Amino acid sequence: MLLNIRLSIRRFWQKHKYKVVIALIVWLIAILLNQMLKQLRTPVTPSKSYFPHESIMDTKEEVPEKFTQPIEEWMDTFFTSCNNKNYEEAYNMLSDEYKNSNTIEYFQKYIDSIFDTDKTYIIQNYSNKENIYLYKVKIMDDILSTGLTGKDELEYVEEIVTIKRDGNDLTFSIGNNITEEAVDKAYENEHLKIAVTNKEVRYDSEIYTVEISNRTDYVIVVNNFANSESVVLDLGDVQRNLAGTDIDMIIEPESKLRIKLKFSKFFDDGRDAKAIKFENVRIFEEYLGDESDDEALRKYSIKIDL
Amino acid sequence: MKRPKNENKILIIISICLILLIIILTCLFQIIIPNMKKDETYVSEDFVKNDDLSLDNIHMPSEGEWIKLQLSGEESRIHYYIATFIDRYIGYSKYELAYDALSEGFKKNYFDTYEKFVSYVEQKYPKSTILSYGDIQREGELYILEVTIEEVFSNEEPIKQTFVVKENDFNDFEIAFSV
Repeated sequence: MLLNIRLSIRRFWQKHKYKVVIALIVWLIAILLNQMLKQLRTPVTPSKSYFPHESIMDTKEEVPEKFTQPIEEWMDTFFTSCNNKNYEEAYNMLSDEYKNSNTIEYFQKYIDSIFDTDKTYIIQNYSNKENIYLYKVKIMDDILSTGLTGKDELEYVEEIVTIKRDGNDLTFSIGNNITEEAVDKAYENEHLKIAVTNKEVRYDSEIYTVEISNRTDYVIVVNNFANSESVVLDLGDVQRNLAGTDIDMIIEPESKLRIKLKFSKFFDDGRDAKAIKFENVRIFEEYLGDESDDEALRKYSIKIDL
Repeated sequence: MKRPKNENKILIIISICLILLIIILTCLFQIIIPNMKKDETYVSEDFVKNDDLSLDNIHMPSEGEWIKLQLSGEESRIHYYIATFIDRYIGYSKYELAYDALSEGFKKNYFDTYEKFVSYVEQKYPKSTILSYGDIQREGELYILEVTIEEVFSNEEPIKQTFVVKENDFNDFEIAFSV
């Protein structure tokens, strides 16, 4: 009996072995496929429209994913320190550039003016350019704890946090100043010298520190209220006037004027400043404010390449 | 030539095995894999089967609502949570659930005891309501919107309240409102 069964199996195997092997292979493939699909399964989470590390202005440059967590950790530690009035700890988290131009006393006053009560914050990457990442941070009351009780609308203070990346190192600063650098450009002749000594880049403007020396016994008028378009920032395809129209640049004989000139220019507009143009520099024997250009002893148009 | 009897038996056994194999494969492709895909939507079993709906579990979404919730956009989900809070939790006197849904900070600020909250909602909200929603404002992970709460068949002035909602997961939310 057993022998018969063995013989039958052998005969069956010899006759149908290919079919059986194919069936087994199909079966194995199906099992493997099933396992693979199980591995691919991902949990579903609610769809959201809040992406704190995606730039809302321009997506050409992105914050690398490996920096998103350190950035969030920095924000958390910094704003927690501000809430807890740990001024020194928070101040020391800022870049040397920030600390060089802002004292801890100034920083303390600034923090006290914003963090008068416990605040929360919301971060949003705003713009990125050449390893500089700008985040807008809304600082507000903890509305999930207040339900906006007693308020008609959400009130918040907006702060810009500038993050500079150097390799794998990140430095952070606040207060709208993105970069600040010394500049050494000048024009001079026997009558005057105009030197550009410093440049501050903010998100929506560039500020140049300019020193104008009068080497004559006369009055030099570089700009006055009546003609505020005579000093411009040359961006190549476009020129920007001085921001603010009430800037007088009148230099008395043998004296020097140091002034900050602010021009509207967006940090991420893709343009670079080429030059500052002083297009209507005049030398008057005397200047009371109502003299016409024809009365000037000399007139210059000066361009300082940056 | 006649096939031996034993071989016929073996053939029958193997045929049965093959049929079983086909059935298993069919089950695999027709039932298990599609159910797996369905599983991607059914992350949690935190809903009530349609035939189990009762007043005891009125606070939980039905199966249909659960699917709809997972397919909805942010705004619809937030509306659903506010409706759940007012209509289901408070409307059906499930005050403990409503209290649990409040954010910890909000409880601490305005309703440090459960009794205070119950007293407030019983005074403030009607049992049967019609809700209408104002524009939604997203601030990070928080949603802010004004909700108008009217009592059904009533001439009473509707209540207007600002709600702040944070969604942690589907049907898992924290809520605060202007008191």
